[in-house]
Amino acid sequence: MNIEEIKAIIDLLKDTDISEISIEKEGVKLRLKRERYMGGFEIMERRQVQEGGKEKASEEKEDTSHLFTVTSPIVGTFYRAPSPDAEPFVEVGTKVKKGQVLCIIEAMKLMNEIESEVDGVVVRILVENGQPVEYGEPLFLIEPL
Amino acid sequence: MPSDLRYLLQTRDGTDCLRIVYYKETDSTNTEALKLARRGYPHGTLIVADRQLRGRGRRGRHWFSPEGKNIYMSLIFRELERLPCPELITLYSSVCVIEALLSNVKSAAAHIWSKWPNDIYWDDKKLGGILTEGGGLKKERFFVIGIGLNVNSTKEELSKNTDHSGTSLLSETDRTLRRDRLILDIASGILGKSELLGSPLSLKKRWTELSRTPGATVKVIGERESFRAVALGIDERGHLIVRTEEDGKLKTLCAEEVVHLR
Repeated sequence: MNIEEIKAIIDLLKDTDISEISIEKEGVKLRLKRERYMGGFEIMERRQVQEGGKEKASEEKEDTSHLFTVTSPIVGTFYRAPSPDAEPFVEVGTKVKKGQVLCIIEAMKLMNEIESEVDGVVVRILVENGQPVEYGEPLFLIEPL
Repeated sequence: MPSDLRYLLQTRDGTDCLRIVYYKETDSTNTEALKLARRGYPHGTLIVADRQLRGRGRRGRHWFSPEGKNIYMSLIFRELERLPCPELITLYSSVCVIEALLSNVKSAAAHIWSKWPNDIYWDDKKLGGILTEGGGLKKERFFVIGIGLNVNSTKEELSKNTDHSGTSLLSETDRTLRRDRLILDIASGILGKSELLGSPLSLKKRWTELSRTPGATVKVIGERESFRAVALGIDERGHLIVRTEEDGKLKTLCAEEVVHLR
């Protein structure tokens, strides 16, 4: 399945009421889901092409659309703990409350505490401690409770 | 309350501090300010302690905080819309601290300077530092600007503190200084100087006049690498531009530590 074919499928679906469709061809599984808040098909399509081409991961694992993504509000360095010898603020599996501190982003010696915007469970930490991050870069995936 | 802090209670007019919270001792004025800010304390709240039990520097480092001698203060800053670029808050605050020192300490102009991005030096010795922390969500976002300044610590006392090669105003000038005036000048400076706050260009200009970092040979210490370089100056976001000694490449620093050499 190539990009042109996928685009053609998306175009076909645009004017229909179909909200979800799965197609399997030549070992590549494509699942398209219409979700208004994600701005249509394109975001879902990109992820499916990347992950679907490599291996057939389970559908639950691929679908992260129900998860809340915490992004960096600034350019800086990502720290998972308040100091180098302290425990990280959160681990995968940590239950967090809205307003709980997840990490610190440092820019110009300004230590920004990044808080969770939802109650939930941390399911993925996307950046390694001490790494530089860009504005808007995803940092955590949180499953809202 | 120590006599050299008493004006904090009396003079509320003429400053922009809406509320002053004083502690005889506390773990850290920044920790306290973060707590109060989360509880909704307003922009301009000033937190002062006579002693800190767990004074903090960057990345959890200890800050020397003996009783009755020095300045340990934090300000809650909520008017983030006044900042064209939030990271500038630290450089802005160091300019305000230095301006307050210039108007309170004779001979300060010849000795006091800002080391990029958050330290205050007296010649080659550290006099103070700024630790800015941000928290809160969206419209509730706030900054806490913490300032530690060695004012009346004696040479003897400083030598017992093995953390760094620090100095105090007393050991450099042989004069004790009232802390309250300096605290109020720093606070009104930070809360009032809107023209520097709103204009990265003016801030860059003023900071460059008050710093010895541009032009200095420095060691840059990052999380993963360290190298020698010559500091050239800051850009409009306050990031430091350096030329590496090894291959002459230009690098822009935002989170690294810089040590002045020579």
